[in-house]
This record gives sequence, structure tokens and C-alpha cells, in this order.
Amino acid sequence: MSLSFTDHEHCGVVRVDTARLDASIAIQFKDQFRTMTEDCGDVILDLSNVEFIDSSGLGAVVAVYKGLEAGRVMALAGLQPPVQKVMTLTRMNAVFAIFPTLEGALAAAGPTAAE
Amino acid sequence: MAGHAHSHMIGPDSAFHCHFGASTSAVREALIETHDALSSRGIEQDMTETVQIVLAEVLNNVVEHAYGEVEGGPIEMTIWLEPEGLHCEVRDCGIAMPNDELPSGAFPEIDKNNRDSLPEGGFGWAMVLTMVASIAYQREGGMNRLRFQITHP
Repeated sequence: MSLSFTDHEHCGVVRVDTARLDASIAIQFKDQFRTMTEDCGDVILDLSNVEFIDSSGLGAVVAVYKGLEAGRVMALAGLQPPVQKVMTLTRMNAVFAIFPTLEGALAAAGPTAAE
Repeated sequence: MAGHAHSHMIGPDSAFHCHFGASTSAVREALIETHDALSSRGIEQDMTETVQIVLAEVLNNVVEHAYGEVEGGPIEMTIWLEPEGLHCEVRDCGIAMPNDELPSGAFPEIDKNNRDSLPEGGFGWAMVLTMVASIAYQREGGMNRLRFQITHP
């Protein structure tokens, strides 16, 4: 399980560098995400390397979003079909701004994008 | 102890069988193995994805609830193809489902305008019940037996 962090002008990008965001790594994901994003403002979670997510992985994504202070937004980028399927099924696709690519998410993240 | 998933396929028309000791990491290995086995047998991608999503919830439920986080309990699964779709059976020797019946599977309420209220769990059974064409649970002789069917999209 590994995450990488890149600081951009208007937000931080957390990329999941593991193919499966599941019950066996959900706790590690939450811990690492929180440490990485302490000081970065808005966050884009880049899921383009993630081929599979289960309900525990989804719960971890929701948990880290809830852990951000009010006013900080989190967008998701690069969802592969099985991940999109789980998001749609659970209606979590209505909660997050979801972008097909990281580039699209970065373009949308500007000084006026944060609500 | 987390056992490595063992499996064998006897022939192109026979069942895929896999058994392992309960742990979330062994579930992950078993799912990867199942995905590869179904893909290599030419099962359509959509059905392979669906069965993997359903099995993840079913198997992690066994690890977390039937065996209550005590690792190593035996889990067996069998998957076979029928004309209408995939049939799966999962067996374990953990504790029974509450009241010896399947949980009801309503999705948790989501209010996207109230971040603190968003659910972090409770999706699993709702996902399973939405994706299967049929499902049956039996408790017999100290064993849980769950059978479900995934039909062609």
C-alpha cells in the first residue's frame, strides 16, 4: 500500500499507487492520507491506478473526506470502470466531484473552485 | 495465520475451486486468483468485475463477522458457469448470520450537503443484494453456506 503526494498551486494531489483499495489496506490508507494532506488545502484523490475498490475502501475514502476541515473540498479523478461501478451503485458519485482525468480535475481546481 | 489461496481448474468446463484461511489479505489474493481464472476462461469482463465486487463483500463479511477477526478459519468457494451466468458458493465454519438469515440490504442514507453525516460503512450487503440475480443462505452442521448467481448483463 503506498500513496504519493504532489503539491499544486491550488490543491494537493494524492495518488494511490496500489491496484486495490480494499479491506486489507483501508486503515493504512486513512492514516497515510491524513498525514500527507494536513497542510494542503483542497485535495484531488487520483485513483487512476486503482483497478478495484470494495466497501471498506470506499468507506476509507469517505472517512478521509470527512476528516478534512469544513471548507476544504476533495475531488476524485481517473476512476476505472469497476471503481466507477461501486461509486454509482452506492450513490457516492453524487457526493464527490468526479473527473475522468487528473488533468481535468486540476483544471477545475482554481482559486474560484473552492466553495 | 493468513494462508495463501490454493486453487485448481480441472478442465475448461469444470468448476473453479479455491480455499484459504480467513484474513483480509488472503481474501485479496483469492479475488485476484478468481479474477484471473475467470478472465482466462473468457468470461465477459462485466460479469468478472461484478462477481469480484460481490465476492469481496461476501468474503470480507466472513472474515470480519463469521470469524470475528480471528484469522485462519477455513473459507472455501466454488464458482461454475451455467448458461444463464455464474454460480458461486462460499462455505465457512464461523458463527451464523444473525437469526440464521441474510441481512436486509438497504443502502445507507446519503445527504451530500451534510459531510459529517456521510456513511463510512453499511454498503456491503446492499451492494451484494443489488448485484446478484438470486442468493440463498443456509446454516447446517456448524457451517455457513451462501450461494448466489450473477447473470449476464
